[in-house]
Amino acid sequence: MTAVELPGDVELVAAYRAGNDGAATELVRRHGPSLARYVHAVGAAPSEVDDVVQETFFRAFRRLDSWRGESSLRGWLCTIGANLVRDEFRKRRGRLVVSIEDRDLPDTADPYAEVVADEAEARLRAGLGGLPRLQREVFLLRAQQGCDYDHIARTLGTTPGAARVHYSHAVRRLKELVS
Amino acid sequence: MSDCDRLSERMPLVAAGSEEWSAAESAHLATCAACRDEWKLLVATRGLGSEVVLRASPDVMAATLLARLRQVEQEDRRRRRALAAGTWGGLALVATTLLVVMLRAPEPTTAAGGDSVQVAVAAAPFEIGLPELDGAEREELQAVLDALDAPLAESTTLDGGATDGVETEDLERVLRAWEG
Repeated sequence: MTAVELPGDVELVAAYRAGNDGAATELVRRHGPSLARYVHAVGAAPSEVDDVVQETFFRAFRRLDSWRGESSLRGWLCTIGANLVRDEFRKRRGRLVVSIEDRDLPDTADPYAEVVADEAEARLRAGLGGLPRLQREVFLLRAQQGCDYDHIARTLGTTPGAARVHYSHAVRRLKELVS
Repeated sequence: MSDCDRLSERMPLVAAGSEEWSAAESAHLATCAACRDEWKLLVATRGLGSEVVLRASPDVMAATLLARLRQVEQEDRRRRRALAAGTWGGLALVATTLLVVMLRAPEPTTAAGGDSVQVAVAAAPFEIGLPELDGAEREELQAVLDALDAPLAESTTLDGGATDGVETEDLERVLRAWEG
């Protein structure tokens, strides 16, 4: 586990608890961008990402005592963020937001390829929206965040074996959409 | 573990750029459609949301976060103080109420010049079993009571005036019962 399990997280959390505000800033700097991408992938609209990330950090810092370092801090943050997005979705009682309308289309030399890429991403997002919540979160923690199965299991309160099964099912369902 | 399973295990690390495919793994990818599809899916997912950028810089976000945490902690402290004050106030109110109730409890009546022990005794129901009187006639009982009620100056056990109507034997029986 290398991409997500940053070695300094435990020390940074301990430093923050001891009164070092700089440690909190470093944690936000380290995990903010990935968290933003994750909550967007689980359904937050681009215009809401900042608020969701801010609220995720707030809730996480309020209960830092419950994070003991056995699971990945980023995975833990992602789970809190996903719960926030899910709660917001329930409040609105609407479909999962998978809009890409807020995104500015970049200038490219090959607009056709860009359109195809957009369509593929749209299909992927729609596919993710159609997955059961646990499959979606396991898949994103593994594929997007690079977490290993042990950390995924500890973060989501399941077993590594169950996490592998969820991932395998998610891959099977999504492969057809992306290919 | 099959070749496909081994590649699947390694895909997130290679997609993150922290590891590379070996020559054998690259060769497998070139020939295995299932692994190629999974790899494409992983790369697409890895890039998902790459255009999403936080509007606030991490420093600004952290400063906002810390300010909010401090505010909430202050509110928590105020709430705890108010709760503690309310708890002590409530206990004081209960104690005061109990004290008032105890101080205002009705006092039993006392005989003139009597002390607290006699008052307690006088207030309690007072019964003495006198089986010797069980067989006495009504007139005999009344005579005994009259003798007891008569002022001391008017009666004496010597002259027996108040007990004229009572047979001597009955009176002696009563006196013996009283004297034990």
